Amino acid sequence: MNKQLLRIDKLEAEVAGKRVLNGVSMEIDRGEVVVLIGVNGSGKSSFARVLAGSNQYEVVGGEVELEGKNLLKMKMDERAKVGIFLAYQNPVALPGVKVFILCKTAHEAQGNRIESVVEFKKKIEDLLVRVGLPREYVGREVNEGFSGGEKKRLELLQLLLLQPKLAILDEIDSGMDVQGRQKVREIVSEMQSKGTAFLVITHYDDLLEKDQITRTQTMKHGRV
Amino acid sequence: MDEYKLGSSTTTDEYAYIAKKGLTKRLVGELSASKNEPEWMREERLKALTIYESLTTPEWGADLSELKWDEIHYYLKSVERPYQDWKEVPSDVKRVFDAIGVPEAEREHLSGVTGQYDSEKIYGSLKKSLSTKGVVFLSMDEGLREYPEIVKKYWGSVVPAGDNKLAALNTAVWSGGSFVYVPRGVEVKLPLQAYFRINAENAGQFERTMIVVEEGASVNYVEGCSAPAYSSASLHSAVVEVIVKKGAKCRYTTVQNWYKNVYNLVTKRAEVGEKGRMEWVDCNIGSCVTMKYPACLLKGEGSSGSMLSIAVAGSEQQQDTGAKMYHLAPNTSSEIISKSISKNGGRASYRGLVMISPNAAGAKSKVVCDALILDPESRSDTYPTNRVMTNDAQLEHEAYASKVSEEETEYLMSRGMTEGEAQTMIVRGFLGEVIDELPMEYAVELNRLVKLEMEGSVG
Repeated sequence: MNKQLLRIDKLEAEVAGKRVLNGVSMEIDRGEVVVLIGVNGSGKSSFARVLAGSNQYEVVGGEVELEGKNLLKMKMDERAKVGIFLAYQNPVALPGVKVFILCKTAHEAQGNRIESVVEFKKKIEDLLVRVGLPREYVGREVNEGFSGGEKKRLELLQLLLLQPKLAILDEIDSGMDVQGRQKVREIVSEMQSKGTAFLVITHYDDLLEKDQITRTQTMKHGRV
Repeated sequence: MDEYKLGSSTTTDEYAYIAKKGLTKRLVGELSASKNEPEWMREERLKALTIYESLTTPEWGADLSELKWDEIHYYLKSVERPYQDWKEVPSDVKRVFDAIGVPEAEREHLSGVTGQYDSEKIYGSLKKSLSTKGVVFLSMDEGLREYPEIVKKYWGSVVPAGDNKLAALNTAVWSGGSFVYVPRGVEVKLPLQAYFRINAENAGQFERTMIVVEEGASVNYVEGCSAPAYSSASLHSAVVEVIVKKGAKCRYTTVQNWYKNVYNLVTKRAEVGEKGRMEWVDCNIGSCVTMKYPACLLKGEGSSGSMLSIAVAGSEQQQDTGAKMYHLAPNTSSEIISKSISKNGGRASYRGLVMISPNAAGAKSKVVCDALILDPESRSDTYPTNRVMTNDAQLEHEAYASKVSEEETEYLMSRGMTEGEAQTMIVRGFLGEVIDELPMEYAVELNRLVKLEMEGSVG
């Protein structure tokens, strides 16, 4: 299997006519953990959302390939289906949509079959406990009344459930307490060993252990 | 089970009778004569026709200017006599009923079933255990023949012919509908289900329903409506009168899924006696224009009324719906919950009235209107009216309109859902528990329709 997972070449993007990415180039191999740092407004979150395929951004130049496939031609849901996952910096609340339903639908949307709803529910409950949320959250509405840290933990849960090829974590540590950050380290470590690549956007250089990080890159004015 | 296709119709070649287009005094007279009605009903009809002609078309609600009243067949008789044995029902009609679970559902979940095609009932049955207790579930025509005293006693007592132009029209040309009578103290636990279908083109369906629930009795009535795809308009204008006596209870559920060529202009009203309770559950998905504001006249002390309204307005649809609660006695209470969804240029309006009369001390009312707007082309309006004529009353009103944010759709798409699937999920979340209030097969149907509407409409 080819080592290279993602290839980004001179990626340029705009939001509402304003240039946010000015020719970003980057290559990420399977199992690599790339940490991206940079001041506020340097384009880190824009980069994350452009990669995930948000249609609020317009790509005006460059190439992005995942395993040799042109990612820029794919819609957001198609990118999720080929293995891109974005943990949002500010995950939205979804009134009336239960955590269980979100997980079930997302899991199925990515081509997985659920043989037993009862067992799947148990799986979600176990994952909730794993990321440090109460089991009962399986029946809660997504992010409604969640604290900042709880929202981030629910992102971690979905990361574990969906097992992507490339996980983009956009400031997963903001709003998280010490235990939460420890969870991030554990989960990255575990998934990394199974070949998941990570693009970790953060303001803090101590989120991950030094030996977990393949390299750290800095973003400035929409360039890496 | 056959796939239920909204657009399919069966032939009208073998209909027993189709009246010429348009409404005349002669037609009304002939209609009454062909039904062998008592003289008082013939007079009611003719009186109502005069009232109808004297009233103007309402201009305060949805737009009715495109409705061509003279292009409507006001009476269409599909069969000579209703069938009582499912085996006798013609196979093409059967397929439509089978597809929506009638009468399959009847066998397990229902106390009784009737089906109406255009103007006349074609099939009906009621569990024997109920008929021996004196419960009656017939078409209105049969009700008038077999229980003339009861019908005469309550006819027009809740919705008089002069109430509004459409009520007058219905009174003049009514045909079919349900007659339900529940004797004192009898509880009808499983629902009675009526299914109404407009089958012919340019059809007018004017069913008339009367439900009488005697003291301490209870009933749960469910109706579903559908129509095939035609390019020209049909008109559905029903009148429903419900009489809930002392300590009695009635729940009336409607799932309206007319095709988008049907004008749906309906008057529904209940009169509620001491400590009685009336619950309306009204779900409007289909039709081009719906104007419907079911009402409760809370006449008895301690009586209560509730309305749960769900409306989905898509492309070229106006759902003008709501409820009216009249508190006419002390310690009465009411609750209105309205949830509307508008998309693809559709327009949903909540229009409601809460009236608390001077002698309704201790009255309580709560109104909650939630609107979800899916795109900038669509519209939602709220027209609440509150008239409180006593100092000793509590009235709460909440209204929320929310737009589906791009962030919500994007978030779900980032988890692998298509745009349509994402919107389906948001809409179902918005409807939330109200779906659980619907009978099971209708909840399933509503979920399916929401999915179809959302995922069929996003490019």
